Amino acid sequence: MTQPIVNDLTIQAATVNGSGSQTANLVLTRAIFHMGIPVAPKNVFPSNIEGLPTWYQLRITPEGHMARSDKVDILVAFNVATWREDLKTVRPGGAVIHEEAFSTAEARTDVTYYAVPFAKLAKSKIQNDTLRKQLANMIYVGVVAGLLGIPWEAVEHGVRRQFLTKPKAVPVNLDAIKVGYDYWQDNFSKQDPYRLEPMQGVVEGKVLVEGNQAAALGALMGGVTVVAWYPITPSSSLCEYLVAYADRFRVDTATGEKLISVVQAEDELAAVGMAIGAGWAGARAMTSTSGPGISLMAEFSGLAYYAEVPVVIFDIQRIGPSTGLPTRTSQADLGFVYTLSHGDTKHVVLLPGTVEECYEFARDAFDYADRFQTPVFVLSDLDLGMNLWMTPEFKYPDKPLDRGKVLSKDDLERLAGEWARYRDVDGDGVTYRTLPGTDHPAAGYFTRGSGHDEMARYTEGADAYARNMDRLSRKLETARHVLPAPVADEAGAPIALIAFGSTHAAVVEARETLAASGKPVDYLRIRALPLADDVAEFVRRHDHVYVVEQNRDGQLFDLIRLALPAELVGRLRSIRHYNGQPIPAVAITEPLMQLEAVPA
Amino acid sequence: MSATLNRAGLARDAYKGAATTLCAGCGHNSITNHMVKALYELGVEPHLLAKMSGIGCSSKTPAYFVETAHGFNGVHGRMPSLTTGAHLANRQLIISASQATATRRRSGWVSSCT
Repeated sequence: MTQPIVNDLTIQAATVNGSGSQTANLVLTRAIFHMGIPVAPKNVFPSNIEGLPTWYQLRITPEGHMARSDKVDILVAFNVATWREDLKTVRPGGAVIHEEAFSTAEARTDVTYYAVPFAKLAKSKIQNDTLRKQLANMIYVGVVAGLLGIPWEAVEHGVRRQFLTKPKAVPVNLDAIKVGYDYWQDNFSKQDPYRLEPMQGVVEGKVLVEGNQAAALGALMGGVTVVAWYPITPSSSLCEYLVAYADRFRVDTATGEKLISVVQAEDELAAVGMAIGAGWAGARAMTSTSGPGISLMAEFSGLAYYAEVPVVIFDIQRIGPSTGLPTRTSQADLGFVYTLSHGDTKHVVLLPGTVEECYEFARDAFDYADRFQTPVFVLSDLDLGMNLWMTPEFKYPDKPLDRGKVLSKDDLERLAGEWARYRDVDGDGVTYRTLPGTDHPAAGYFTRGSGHDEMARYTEGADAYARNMDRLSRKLETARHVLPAPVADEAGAPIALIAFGSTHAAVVEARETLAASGKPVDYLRIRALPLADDVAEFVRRHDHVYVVEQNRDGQLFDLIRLALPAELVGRLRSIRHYNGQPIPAVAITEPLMQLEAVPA
Repeated sequence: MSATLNRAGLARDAYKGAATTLCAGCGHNSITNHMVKALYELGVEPHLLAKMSGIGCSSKTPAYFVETAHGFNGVHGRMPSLTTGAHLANRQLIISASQATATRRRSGWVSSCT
């Protein structure tokens, strides 16, 4: 046997959607994580309830790389429809666990095959007729545990953790896993180099969380009280998690009354309308959607921008345009969301790059929305939102909510009722508002998406319109200076990378690869639009700066070029990945090395 | 003009709005006048009133009554969602809602719609 490869491998399970395979995958993930080994799961699933192929990639690296790998070390082939193609993805020297009935005639000879009669085992060993199909997947968990040397105690933990709320399901699943575990022990001897060994000091204090779950928790911590939404993949789980959290943590214990309103609206237009109506009336209000829903929300977003109504809008991006690939990831809504609506519009857009930031930015989005009285978009994506990510435990908020410039009854009495809704008293573009229900004769004002003056009166006056639009620009400029600043990691390298969102994971790994091959690169991670001044200064300190993103047209590349002084524009180069699969590090390192070889 | 005060301690004038800019004889004006009358007679406190509408002729209605109350001109045909949101945010609000569809009054909403 060749040199052992320990804790550095990628398992890919190729299964059939709707067969219960995801539960098996998660048990395996939790078992390995319990061994102290970093895991990075990616679920590649079809837009389908049952029957189409689905893949689950479980990447294991001692460093804790979180990006997708483009190489498979261990294939679990459970789907005859994709068997031949799946086999091509395995690295030479890799291992293949497959259903015995799949033919290996004329198959590759540079991999190790472990043929397991999964169907026969399920039929003969699993007594539970109704759950046999689902439990059959558990058999492969047992085989993989045997193959890689996962201790039974870790397997048990994985099952218990996965079925936390259904303890009755634990024994039956463990029995099914034991079938595979025993089959491995009785029938195979280890022919491949891959194994897992417990680790210490890497995953301690860390948890596995989906970005949408983190964002739901963040919204809860941000004090959300009105949620209006319409389901759409990959956004739905955000509001589903939020509902589950609210059922536990936002109930008046004395009366049993819910302290939060959640409406599943008739469509995305109504969802964002309700959120805006609630934001106007003083609630912390939000909606969550994905590309097609964002398109529908364009007109209302313009209203909230122009009428200056706080609202938080989550866009969990998927591949577009139109219906696109509904279950594939993308970063292609950036440009559209930034200027969503007709007319001169520019929005505050937060760009979380980790699940921890999904939590923090979701929470802070409500502060920014109130503080700047404007829609705040939180742009996540399917990869970040729906996959499990290893993350440090989240921190409890250490600051009070910022409700922004709201005049109370007392304020109005102090001002003797002298105020104007859209008058820039402080010179920062942010004006004062009152909430409906404020008991003062001067509190009321008229909110409108049509032209208005400082007193909120209707006007078509040329000067009033231009003055108001200039103030809105000033307001966004104020926001620009307080939004999450770009994160720079610099060591004086001549070249650098710029990225945002879930691309971060691949950039981290690409930088390690490049540094190991003698080409260190600096890094700036953008965390909000409009862009901070730091971006131009960062570009100035480097000869070449590669903007890496997951869209076809280089949308961030374009936004940065527009913001740069002319003499710096030529330093920018663009690396784009847009096939719907989360970007792997190699999709950065290879084009970068090729472009570096080209004279400037 | 009657100087009789309602149970909120207000005269009918407190429920007036800006002068109408709609066509003479427009049915909306009649509806608006009846809104003024109804809100006065009900003794609705103006600060608790939220006047919601879309855009267009019927949606101008909120400008023509209870000038001191909060009002909201939204987007075309989309008053109901804004109104629902405002209602969810503050259940104490008494909400009038107008747009060019139907007439309805229910659970705390006074709607004048045509």
